[in-house]
Amino acid sequence: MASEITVPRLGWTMDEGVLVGWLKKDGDAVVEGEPIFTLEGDKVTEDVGAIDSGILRLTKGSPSPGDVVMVGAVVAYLVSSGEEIVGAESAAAVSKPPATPTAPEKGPGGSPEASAGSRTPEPATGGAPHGRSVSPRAASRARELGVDVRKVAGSGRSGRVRERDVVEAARGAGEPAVSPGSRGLSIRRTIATRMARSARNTAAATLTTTAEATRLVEIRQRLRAQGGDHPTVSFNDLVVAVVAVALREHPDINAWWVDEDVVPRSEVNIGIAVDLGEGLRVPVIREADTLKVRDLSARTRELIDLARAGELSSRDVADGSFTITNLGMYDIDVFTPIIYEPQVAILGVGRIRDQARVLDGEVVVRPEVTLSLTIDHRAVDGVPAAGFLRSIRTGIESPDSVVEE
Amino acid sequence: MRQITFMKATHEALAEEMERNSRIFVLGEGIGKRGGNFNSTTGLYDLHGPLRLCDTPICERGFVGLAAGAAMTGTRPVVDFMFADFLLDAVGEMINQIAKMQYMSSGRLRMPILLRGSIGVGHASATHHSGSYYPMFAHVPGIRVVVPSNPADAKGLMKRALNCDDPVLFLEHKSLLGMKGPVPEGEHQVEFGSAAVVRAGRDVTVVAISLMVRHALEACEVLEKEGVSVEVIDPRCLSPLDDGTIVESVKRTGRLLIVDETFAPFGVGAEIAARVGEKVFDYLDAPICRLNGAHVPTPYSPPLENAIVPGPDDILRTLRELMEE
Repeated sequence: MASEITVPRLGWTMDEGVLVGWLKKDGDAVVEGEPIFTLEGDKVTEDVGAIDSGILRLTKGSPSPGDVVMVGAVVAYLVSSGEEIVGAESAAAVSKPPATPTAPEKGPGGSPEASAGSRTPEPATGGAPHGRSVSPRAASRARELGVDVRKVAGSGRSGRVRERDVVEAARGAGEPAVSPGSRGLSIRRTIATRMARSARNTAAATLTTTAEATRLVEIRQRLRAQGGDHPTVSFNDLVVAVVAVALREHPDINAWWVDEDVVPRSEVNIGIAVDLGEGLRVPVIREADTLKVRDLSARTRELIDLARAGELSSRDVADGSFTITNLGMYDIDVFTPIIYEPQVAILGVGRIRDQARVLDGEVVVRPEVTLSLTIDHRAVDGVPAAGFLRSIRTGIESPDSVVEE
Repeated sequence: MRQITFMKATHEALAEEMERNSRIFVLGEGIGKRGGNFNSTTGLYDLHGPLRLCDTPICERGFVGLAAGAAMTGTRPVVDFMFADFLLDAVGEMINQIAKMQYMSSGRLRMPILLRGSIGVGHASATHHSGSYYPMFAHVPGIRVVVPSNPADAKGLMKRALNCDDPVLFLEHKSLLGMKGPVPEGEHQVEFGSAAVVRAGRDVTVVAISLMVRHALEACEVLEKEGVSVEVIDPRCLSPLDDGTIVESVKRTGRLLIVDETFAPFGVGAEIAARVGEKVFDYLDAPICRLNGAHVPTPYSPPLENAIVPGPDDILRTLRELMEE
């Protein structure tokens, strides 16, 4: 019997991805576990393996490299030799699984599903027969405005062309329309969706404080001097180490907001925002509170290298319980980062710079760093957030116990 | 304007009409001295006595048959079912006799019967006291089906029913009975088959039934702040259904969500979606969307009750998704 190959969910928030390319051709024999196609999700790009053996059958509806595909959509079939697929012509890869609004997906699932197969509970329906759809309203409007609807990029959930797309196209007539499947646009769209969703869902409030960084600077110099073969421990690594300890003491911050409730996470997994030029990746340092500072530093470096090479796995970006974003190297002091849902807080770290401070009635010059903590006020109130921020400040000002060798 | 509760508004309608028209009498369990389980007839027994406030045993098919016969002789029976679930015990009389009699008699017999009962999930009423069933009755020709969502409409529609020569099924959501709202004093009637635009909007149309109107309005408040302008339509009456108001709205907005506490399959949402599809397909900018109670018998546990019916948050989420379509 033909089995369906569907788009898996890489991480629990992914709704759609981009089919980067096929690793097998139509008619190829595939062995269970063998990679069939490369899929780009919200945060990672991964090769998707077969969960069964058979002969790969692509259909008219199968997506081409660069196409946006919905999670759960059937992209191809596995058949036994000599077998024909019945009804496969109607399988549209860019369709969306039927919505069940009264039974929404509840909370984060367990491990990401990274293998494809006949898992779709319902047949994919409702998509356009040729992988592209236009709303009736958009079609009428296009006729009215004299717009060639085939050249309009759709902004609807499944790439559907909506009235607003036609109106926009008419306004910018003459400019070539952007293809909805292009890779750069997809990363931008993922970020756009996540950021806008977070801004809309969370009750964000930002608290800032300034910590004296004298001791932090000294420790970093000492570690560098003792470094030997070890790569240099960065300021950011030290801050991550301090925050990891503070998170262990504040379980309500090291938490997710799930089903209208605060759910503390058992592990302290810290996400680090990494800028890649074309967009952001947030690899996660798992159990950061259990790592010695040199190990933590090494792990961070490893994750950043993977991110730059585009080789992060879904596990590398999953299960973060808190996120740190550092704009200090770009001379930023204070900012209001956007919370990475379903986490309930994010720390923005500013630059370290010399400031005049008053100490025992004397004006002295000391290095300082400004910290910006954005909380989701649905989950965390101002006072506990201030307590958490104070723990971080204390940790930065007296980091010796945290960063002991 | 003065504010009174939903139940007070229908009580007022019944009391005023009983005062004016001596042919009106009420049948039901505990509607005499006791004044009705939901106070639907409080005080009327003292005014009009046991002949016009007639307590019945628990035998729905019997007393609905009695009402049918009484209507044929020229009276105006009001059957108070307490819980609409027990309409089901009288469906034979209602559909085979009451709804068909005018047709069967070539118009010589009129059946001015008002059948009323409480509907809806809530208050841990369990599965035998939580049903709504209006899609079943709206399916049948010959009976009007009314589902008001506020005290003013409740009074206006009940007065209309008590002045109408056709059978009317009047269904009141349990969770609305205590709701207060402005109600005009004295004569006030609402015509059947006229939907109300309870909130005007530009971007998306929501048709909500009964209690869902309240929930939808709550969701709209939030969306308004996000820059999404929602039009909310309350059909008030499902048979006849004022699809013209709905169609005109969708023609402007291009998007439609139907929110109904009852089951989705073969229901009100399906009917409205089909009519809108037939009439203004070319104006749709997104698939028509339905939000319904779960297709299950109603659980007794309050958290489970909450989980199976749409609430303001569900409506909000569905509308956000619909705007993304």
